[in-house]
Amino acid sequence: MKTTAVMAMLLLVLLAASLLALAHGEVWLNPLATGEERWRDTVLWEIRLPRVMLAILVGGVLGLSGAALQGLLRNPLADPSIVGVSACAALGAVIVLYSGLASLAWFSLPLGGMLGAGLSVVLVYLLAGSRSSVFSLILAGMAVNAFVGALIALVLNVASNPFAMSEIVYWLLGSFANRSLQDVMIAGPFMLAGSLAVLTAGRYLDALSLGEETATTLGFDPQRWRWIVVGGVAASVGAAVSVSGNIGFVGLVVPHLLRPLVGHEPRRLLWVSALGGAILLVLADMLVQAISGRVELKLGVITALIGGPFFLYIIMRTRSSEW
Amino acid sequence: MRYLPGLLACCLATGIASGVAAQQRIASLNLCTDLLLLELVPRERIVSLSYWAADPDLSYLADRVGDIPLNHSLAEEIVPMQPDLVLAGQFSDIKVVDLLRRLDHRVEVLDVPLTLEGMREHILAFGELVDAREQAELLAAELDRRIAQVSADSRRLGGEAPLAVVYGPQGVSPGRDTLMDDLLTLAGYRNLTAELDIVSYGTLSLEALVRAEPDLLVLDDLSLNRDSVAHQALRHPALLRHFAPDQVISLPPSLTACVGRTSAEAAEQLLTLRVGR
Amino acid sequence: MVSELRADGIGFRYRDVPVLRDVSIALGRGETVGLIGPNGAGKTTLLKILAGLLSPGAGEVSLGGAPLPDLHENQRARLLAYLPQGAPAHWPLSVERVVELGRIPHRAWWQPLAEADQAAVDKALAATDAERLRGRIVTTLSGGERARVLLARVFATEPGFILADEPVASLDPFHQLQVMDTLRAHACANGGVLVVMHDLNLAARYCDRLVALDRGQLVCEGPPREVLEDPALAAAYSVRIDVVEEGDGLWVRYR
Repeated sequence: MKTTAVMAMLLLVLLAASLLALAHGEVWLNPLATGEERWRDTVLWEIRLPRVMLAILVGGVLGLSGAALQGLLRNPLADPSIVGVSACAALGAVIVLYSGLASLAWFSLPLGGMLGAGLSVVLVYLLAGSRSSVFSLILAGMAVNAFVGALIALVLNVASNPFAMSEIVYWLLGSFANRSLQDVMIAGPFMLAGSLAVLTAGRYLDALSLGEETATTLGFDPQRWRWIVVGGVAASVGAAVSVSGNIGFVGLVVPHLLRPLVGHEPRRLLWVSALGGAILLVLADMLVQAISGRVELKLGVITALIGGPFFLYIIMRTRSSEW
Repeated sequence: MRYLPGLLACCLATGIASGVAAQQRIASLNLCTDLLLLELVPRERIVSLSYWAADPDLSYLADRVGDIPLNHSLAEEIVPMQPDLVLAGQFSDIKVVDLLRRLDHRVEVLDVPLTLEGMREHILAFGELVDAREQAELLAAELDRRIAQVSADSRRLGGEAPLAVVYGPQGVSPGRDTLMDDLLTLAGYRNLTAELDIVSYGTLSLEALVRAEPDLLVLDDLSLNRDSVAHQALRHPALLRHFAPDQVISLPPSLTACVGRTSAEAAEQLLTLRVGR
Repeated sequence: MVSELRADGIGFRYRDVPVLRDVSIALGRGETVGLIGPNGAGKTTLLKILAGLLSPGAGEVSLGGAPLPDLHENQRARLLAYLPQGAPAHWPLSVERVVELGRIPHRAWWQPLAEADQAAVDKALAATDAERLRGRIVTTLSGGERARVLLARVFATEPGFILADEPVASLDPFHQLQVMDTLRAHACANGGVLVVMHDLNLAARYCDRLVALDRGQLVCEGPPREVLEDPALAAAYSVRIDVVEEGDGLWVRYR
């Protein structure tokens, strides 16, 4: 019952934030009124709407993935950007985009992101093991992030792109600037499909609260469900990063803030984290446009400004119990 | 062993210099000085050009480069050629310039003009420097004449000046005190970015661009490497759907890369476009 | 009704070290069986194999005549509950939610908790004397309280067979007796209970049958008195064992 109330509240906030984000820009526009001038419609529905839609989708995916990874690894520091999934997805997308493969098929860019994300999950499992301590998970993520960041720079350099520097920043920090409905269409289906897969695993994550053995004897094939969660996260995060770059810390901050509201239950946390992530990114994207000078700030700057101190705070809280 | 090529080149250079005293041999590190060299000086006096000179996207004289050795602004490429004069631009790497000077090379760092103002003086001074005064005077006169023609035709055309905007990757757009602003003004357009009080280059959001409802959208840079996030702003469906096909043109970067012959060419194209509508 | 959980000729190796060799064991309805033996005898491994958590290198486990791997996971989960030793609780969940996890095998993912589920949860909490813990947070409980809550989770499943790995290890004497009473009551209500125990006195008092393991092999099995007096058991534990019949039951002394 309580969870339904929380969900309803979050949905209302998301709706209000989205309307506000549509209205807010370089000039205020009323999204509910129909205007006479053509530029109004173009600005509202071709420029602002795709941004808001992507913020909702990507934010939802990142919040959900953070909650799912935390449930799967039973580790409050798991997050697609911290464990390196997002960076690897960015690498996959970068290779596809700058090699010109992106024009081969409409889905090749998100596919690149998804392959990269899939590879990273395997990497992190190899480096940290499936039963990772907080410590080894962060170290593995750090190694993957540093290595992959360098590979992204390398690929961009080899592609001899005149904008290499700013493109590196885009892929490492993420942005919704200049995104179109086309981006929503090519990445949206994969984000939704991956998220649905993750959501079906809610009860498995609940059962995992009592350890893998208990979950198995409660009727879950651990192998199969692990792959459903990991595959869903890889698909949805891979597709999200391929159209928005690597926006960090959303999957860390959002589940952590919302967990007490749902009695720390992993399954309920999935749903509210998806909504919370969407709200966070819609608001952050609005903030980015409001405070930026002539050159728009990257979205990851805002999320890192919020998430960085948060990360330290959670480390300090878990340190005493687990290290 | 590794000094051998340098030594050989050194001996060769002194031999030639003593033989044909007047034949000054020149190397260039900058695209704009590359182009003027190719315009004004016989090929055999050019010992090296920057690698941009051979890139047809940027250089309108790329097919004239032929077998002239290309450099990447590295001293080790220049030194073995022992040029009598090395030309650099104000944005060239200062470290290379310093190094070459310390190795006793004559390096001239030229203030390559960024607008039409000073173009004439620059060409004439360049001609003095590379011992091609006559060719420089001819070129300057031709450009003067063509630009005056555009200006006159534009004024004769009259009517209200259409609003134009030049839009490049990442939303970069030239405002006041830029070559593109000069060319637009010359051809009788108003430059949106300049009217927004942006001096030099600034970025323009898609939203601001659409809201201003310009009559002409000049897309910049489309022939460079297109597979990048920077270029996605140029292909945004909002632009393609909001503007009619005849409102959008793209100028190849080779026309706007440097002030010179291409500037007259670009101004003429812009004017033709205005006549057409 | 599934009548018997049995394992025949079980062998298991962990990294080439044999852990179990040719062990056979059966657990019927209505009986409480104690699995005893010194540390490292392979008791927990055997329990995990019976629960389907490990697949044996040799031999076969069957439930009601059907091989365990052939059963649908959900069906198995309804028939067979497993209580691991010192099971973790990773999140600060409320006790009620933890016990409700036991109902997972009984409903599909879209079904909310039905009345029958709620009744089973209430019954399980009552049986383990954990009703007053209902609203507490599981991570803040004492070791003994937590053990009872996790046992309540097992009861909430209403399984045919319960496999419990040292369920009384961290309990005070009162709750040790209470938990054993509860497990026995499950057996009396036509369930089967296999419980790993270190306390030979409790084993003697509560079990219908004892099975003793040592170094991966079955040492002896049978009624408590027979097994406890078997010299092979004393040899396995490397102690002297005296069994005394006094008042209402057996008492075991070892030195």
